Amino acid sequence: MLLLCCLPGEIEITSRLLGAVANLPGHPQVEVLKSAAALGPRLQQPRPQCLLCLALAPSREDLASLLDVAPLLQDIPLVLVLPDEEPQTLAQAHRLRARYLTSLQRPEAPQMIAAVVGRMIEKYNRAWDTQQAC
Amino acid sequence: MSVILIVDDDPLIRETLAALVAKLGHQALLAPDLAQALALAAECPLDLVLLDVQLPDGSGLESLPALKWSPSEPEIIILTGHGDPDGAELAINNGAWDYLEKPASTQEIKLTLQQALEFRRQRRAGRSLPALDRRDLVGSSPAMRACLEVTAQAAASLANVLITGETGTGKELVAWVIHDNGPRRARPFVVVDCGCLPENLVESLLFGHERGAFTGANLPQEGLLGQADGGTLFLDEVGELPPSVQKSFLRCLQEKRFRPLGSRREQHSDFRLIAATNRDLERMVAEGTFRQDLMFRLKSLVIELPPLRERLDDLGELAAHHLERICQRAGLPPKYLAPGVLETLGRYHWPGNVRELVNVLESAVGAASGQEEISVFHLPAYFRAKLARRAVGGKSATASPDVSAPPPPQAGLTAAPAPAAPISPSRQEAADPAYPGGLPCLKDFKESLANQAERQYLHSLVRHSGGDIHSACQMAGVSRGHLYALLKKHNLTLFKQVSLQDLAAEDA
Repeated sequence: MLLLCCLPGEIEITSRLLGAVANLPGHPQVEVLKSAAALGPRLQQPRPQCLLCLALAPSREDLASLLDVAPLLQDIPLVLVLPDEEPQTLAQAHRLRARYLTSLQRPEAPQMIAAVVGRMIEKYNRAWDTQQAC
Repeated sequence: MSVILIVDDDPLIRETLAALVAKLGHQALLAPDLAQALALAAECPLDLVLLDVQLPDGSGLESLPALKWSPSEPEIIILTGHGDPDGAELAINNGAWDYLEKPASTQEIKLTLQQALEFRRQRRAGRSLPALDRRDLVGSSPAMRACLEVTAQAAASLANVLITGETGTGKELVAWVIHDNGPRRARPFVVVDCGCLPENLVESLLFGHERGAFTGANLPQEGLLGQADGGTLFLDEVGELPPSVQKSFLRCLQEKRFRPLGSRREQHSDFRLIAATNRDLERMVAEGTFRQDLMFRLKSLVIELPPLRERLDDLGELAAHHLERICQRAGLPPKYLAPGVLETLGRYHWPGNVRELVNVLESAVGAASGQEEISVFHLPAYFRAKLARRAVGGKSATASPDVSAPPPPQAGLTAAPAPAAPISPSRQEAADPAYPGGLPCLKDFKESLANQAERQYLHSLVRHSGGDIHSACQMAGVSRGHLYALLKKHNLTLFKQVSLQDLAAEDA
C-alpha cells in the first residue's frame, strides 16, 4: 500500500498532515511530493497494487495544476484539501472525483483526513486479503 | 407479422404453440433442440423465441444468452415444466422477457407474447439508444452488451440508478459514463464514498451544517447534496450508509429537500442519484440493516456488472485496451501479449475483477520493460503461484505451463518482478493417500463436508416427504424458495414433472 502525498508549499498544515498520516493503521508506505507538477511524472510510472493519493491545494493555482493531471488521477482514490470552500472552487474540485474533500479553512482537517484515509486503507487491505484468499 | 421460434422437444407442444402463433397472425419456426434453434437464430431474422428449458442437447437457460445475442437479438420467453425460483431469476437476469411455467393457459401465453412483441416494436421503432462515450468501459460479450444497453438507457434518463457488482468490476466508471453521457454532463459529479466516511461524519457531509450545530462545528459547511444541485450525486457503497442517515436521505430523495444540521430552513437540491454497492441489499433489508423503501427508490434502474470470470470473452479486448493505456501513460512503446498469455489469463478466476487485471498488466509492463512482448513470466509472482496451485490441485482443466518458475533475467528492468513463488504446499502433500489431489485448504474441506451432509439429508427428505413440497418444507424447517435452491444445487428433483398436455387439450 502506497500513500502518495502531494504537499506543495511549506505551510503549517503540511506537517500536521504528515503527522496525521504517520500513525495510520496498516502503516502504508508514504511518499511525499513537493508539487502538483511532480505528481504527473510520478503517476506515469508503474503503479503498485494499492495506491492512494492525498493532495493539498493551498491555492487555486495548485488546484489548477492538479486538474492538469486529472486523467492520471482518475483510477486512484483521492483525498483533496482545497484552499477554500467557494462554490467555484468546489465545482472545479469535483472534476477530480475525490473520495473526500475538505479545505484549509477547517482546522480539524488533518484529523478527519487521518480517519478517512485510515478507513480507506482498511477497505483496500480487506479487498486485497479477500482476493488473495480466493 | 413477427417471426417466432418455438423450441421444444415435445412435437405436440410445438404444434399447439405454432397454431396459436399462426392464429395471432405471426409466422412460427420450429426447433426440437438447441442445435437447430441456434442454427435458425443465426440464419433467420427472429422477433421472439419461446424456449423450453430441458432439451435433448442441453439446458435452454444456458443457451439463453447465445439466442438473445444472435443477430436479430430476439426477445426470449421461457416456457418450462420445471419451474424453480432460481431458474426464473437466472432467466430474467440473462435477458429473458418472461418465465412461464407449464401448464400455462393459452390466454397467458398470448398476453405475454403480445406484450413482448409490443416492447420489441417500440424499441426498434425509433427509440434507438444513443451512442455512448464508453471511456474505459470495455467489452462486447453478451453480458457486457446487456449492461451497456441499460447504461445507455440510464444516460438518456434522469431515473435513479443502482449499480451492483463485485469489487473491481467498474461500478464508479459506469456511474461516470452515465453522468458524462447525460444531460447533466456540464454540472458537478459529486462522489460520496459511504464506505470511507466515519459514521459520525456522513450526515454533516451529506446535508451540511450550520455553525455551532455540534461540538467542533466552528464554521458552516455546505453539504454534498447542495453541491450536487443540477448535477449527479454518486453514492458509492450505499450499503454502508448508516441506518440513522437512511431515513433522512430517503426523504431528501423523495422531495429533493433537506435540512442542514442545526438549520431551521430547508434547502432544495435538484440532484440525479446514482448509487453503487457490492452488497446484497435485499439480504440487508431482510436482516433489518437497510431500509426497504430506500432500496426500492434506488432501484429505478439497475445495472448488474458481471464479474470478469463470467465474461472471459472480453479478456483480450480488455487486456489490449489497458496495455495500450498503461504504455501510453508511461511513455513506452506499445507492448503485446505473447502467444499463450491470453490463455493463461483466461485460466485465472479473477476475484479482483477488472481492477486486478489492470494491476496484473501494470506489473507485467514494469517487468517487461525494454521488451515488446509480455510473456507468462512477466506476470506477477502471486498470480503465477495461484495458477500453479490450481493446476496442481486438479482444479484447472488444462495443464498450464510452469508458471511458478522464476522469470528469466532481463536487461534494462526498471521495476524488478516480484520474487518467484515457492513450490506450492499442495505439491508437497500430493503423496498423502487421504488427499490424492493435495491437502485442500480448511475452508474448502469444511465446505465439501457440509455439502456431502446436505446432499444426504436432501435424499432422505425427498424420501420421507413423498415428494410433497409442504411436508418437505415443514420437515426441513426451511422456506419453499430455500428448498428449491438446495434441490437445484444438488441436482435433485422433488416433484413430478408436468408437461404441456393440458395446454394442448385446452386448445383442442
